[in-house]
Amino acid sequence: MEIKEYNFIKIDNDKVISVLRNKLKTEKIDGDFNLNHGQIYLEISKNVVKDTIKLFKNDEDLKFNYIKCITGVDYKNYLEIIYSLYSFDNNYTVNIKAKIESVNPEIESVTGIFWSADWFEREIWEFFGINFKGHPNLKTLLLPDDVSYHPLLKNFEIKWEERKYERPEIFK
Amino acid sequence: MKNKIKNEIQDIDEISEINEPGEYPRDYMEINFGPHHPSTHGVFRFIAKLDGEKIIKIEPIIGYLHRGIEKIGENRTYVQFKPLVDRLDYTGAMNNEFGYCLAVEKLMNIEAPLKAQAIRVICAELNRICAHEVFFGAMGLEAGAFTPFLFGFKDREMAIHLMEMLAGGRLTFNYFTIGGVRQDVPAGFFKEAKDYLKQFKKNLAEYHELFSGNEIFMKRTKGIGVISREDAIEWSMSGPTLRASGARFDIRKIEPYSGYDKYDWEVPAGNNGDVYDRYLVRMNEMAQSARIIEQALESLPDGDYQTKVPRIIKPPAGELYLRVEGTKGEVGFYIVSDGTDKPYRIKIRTPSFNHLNALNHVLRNSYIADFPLILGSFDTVMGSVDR
Repeated sequence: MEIKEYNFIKIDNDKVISVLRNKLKTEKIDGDFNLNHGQIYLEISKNVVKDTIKLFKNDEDLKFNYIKCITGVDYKNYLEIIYSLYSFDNNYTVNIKAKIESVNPEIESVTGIFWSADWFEREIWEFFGINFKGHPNLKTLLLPDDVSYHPLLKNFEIKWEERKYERPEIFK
Repeated sequence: MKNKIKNEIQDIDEISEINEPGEYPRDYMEINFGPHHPSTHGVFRFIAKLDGEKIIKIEPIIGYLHRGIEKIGENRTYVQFKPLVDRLDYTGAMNNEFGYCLAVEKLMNIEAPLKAQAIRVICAELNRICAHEVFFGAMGLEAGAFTPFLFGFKDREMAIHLMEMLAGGRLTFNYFTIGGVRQDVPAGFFKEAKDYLKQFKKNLAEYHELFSGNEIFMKRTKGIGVISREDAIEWSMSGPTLRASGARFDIRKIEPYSGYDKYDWEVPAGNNGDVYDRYLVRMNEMAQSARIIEQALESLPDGDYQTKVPRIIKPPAGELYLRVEGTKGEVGFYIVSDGTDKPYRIKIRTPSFNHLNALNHVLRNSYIADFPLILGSFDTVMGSVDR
């Protein structure tokens, strides 16, 4: 294996946005771009998330080949899922956002595109209750197997419970 | 590429579906390890399916150290949450604080003064040396050599002493504040730090003499646990693990923060992607860290060690993902602020989580006896996996 050098590349956010916008136009995907603290956010409908990520990964000019992070946020009346993708060759970053309804939340899994999405999605499934269609191995990761709640939803409150401990017979 | 992905997932499916003993062409053995720590810090369990001595499938089971830090973060103020960040990866606590403080500062549009930036770099690199010395000791134990453990832990104590002078703590510091560091460099620190660096260079040469060139160790670790560059990127690997697979990629160089671009240093990388390369990359990184500390000490600017920040930290509404190069890889914070003094959502992305995710892929078709070495070469800390 040869060592591949990655160097600092200065990026112009407006240029990256125009490149991404053209790519989305050819595939007829609608999306809103905005900048937040110098980072690019792309808001799309949840039905096209899988297609968009596939396009961004396989495109020769973009090559978004690395997942930085996948995470969810609960905004009470809707949920949001954020995919942070990174391109090693171009030093591009894009955060793809999609809104998901809070009743029976469902979205298509991207495990077929990125292997590393496996645990990220399992974690979101268990903490937010978002069902990932097509995930091969959706089961609990960090919490015990028998939990019936999703801790990172805003309606789950941290509270102290009285310990129900009774001394065994022989110590009484 | 497409077929490759399909096979990867199908393989996992097929093996998990066939459970009837009669259906196997040969006898497979399923063994359970743990929950204890075979070679990690923390509690880790896995179930392995073996064909003789070969691993055909491995299923890591994590979550024994889960403390719900992300949920606790939503119920505390930005300042109250900071000590918890130390407890994620407790061998590299300074680097976790670094990421968190930079993220909150960027949300508030403030910047630490130049002196604080240099002190932060010194702390982060000292902590990197500490973490890699733990790795050096643990790697020796994995390979069946006890001496490196003693050497690594003895020398680590000197670096910890330096950080104790600055912060007052040994492992979890709570030293960085939003807008700077908690206290100034004490008198006598420079002399001790320079003495330490002089001693450290001798120590490093000793490590190489003692262990890196050891023929038994080299034969034991070369050619096992090989990861190609494409696979490492595909599995979201980062840090020394990625660099050992032939990618000279370091966040300190690509997205320079806190004045890392002012110092003259190199990024070590390996070209085989095996356990020995991951070991060597970490050893070479320690030398580079010492180089950075040396330059930072020499060019430490005068001035304040803190900027003026409001008494109650209230970042304006907004969100960002910020990553820094931790001791094990990319440490990232995704913070959503709604304008109050508590974060609306904090997601912590840790490198060890992704390294364990790839375990089934890396370990398939390797021998069970190599398992501790391969897992040890990722330098996993379960505190940062389970959060």
